[in-house]
Amino acid sequence: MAKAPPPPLSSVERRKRLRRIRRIARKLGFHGTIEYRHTWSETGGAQFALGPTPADDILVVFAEAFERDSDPDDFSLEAIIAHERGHQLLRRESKLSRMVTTKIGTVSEEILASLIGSLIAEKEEDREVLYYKALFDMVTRGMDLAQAVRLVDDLRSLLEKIL
Amino acid sequence: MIGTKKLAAIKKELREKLRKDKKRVQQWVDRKQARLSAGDSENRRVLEELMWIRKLLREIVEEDETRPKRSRKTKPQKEPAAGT
Repeated sequence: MAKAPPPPLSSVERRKRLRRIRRIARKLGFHGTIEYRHTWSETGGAQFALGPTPADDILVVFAEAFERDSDPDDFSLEAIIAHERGHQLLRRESKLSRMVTTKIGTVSEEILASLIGSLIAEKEEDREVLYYKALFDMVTRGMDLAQAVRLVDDLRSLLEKIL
Repeated sequence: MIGTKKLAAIKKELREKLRKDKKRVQQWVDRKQARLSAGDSENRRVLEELMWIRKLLREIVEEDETRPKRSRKTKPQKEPAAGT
């Protein structure tokens, strides 16, 4: 059964959400258009879309990002947006984009976006959960623990040097 | 997309995996690996890809480290003004 639409939101609250999203995204260095859509997305809460130029890139944040943010056992809005900014850096940072554009698959890109998010997020807690997210995505792909930890640490430290 | 899996669920599974009890960790790994059927080439592809990415990132870092850094042009020092 389809999930009921999110509860209605006043225009004031909607603007408030958008302002908060913009503040976080700009702080993380996001460039392009930033939108809020008051619907469920099944994306986890936000989505990045690459435009023809950096100014045309789009970040769309959905209602579930706020639902998750309000749950202490889930990702914060900051962590969700840091992950999306990770996608933008992968696509826009010249040294990284050359490997992403054609050669890597969606799963690897998601792992790298989480790792970049774990480097750029402001709060230590968000950094940590994004690191765990990348680690989790690796172990659920069948990698053994020691190997996954080593690989995730290596990738993170290399990305840190590049960014 | 960060995915729809709740952080608490991720932490729970990781905690289980990271538990110091090596036997249980091994069982967890075995269970996970058993779930990967012989035909699950997609997972293997991802792992190979990540290792390839690590290699590539290392090359980028090495390139950066070995590339001679441009020295900043130093401005010629001004002649002291006459009489000072």
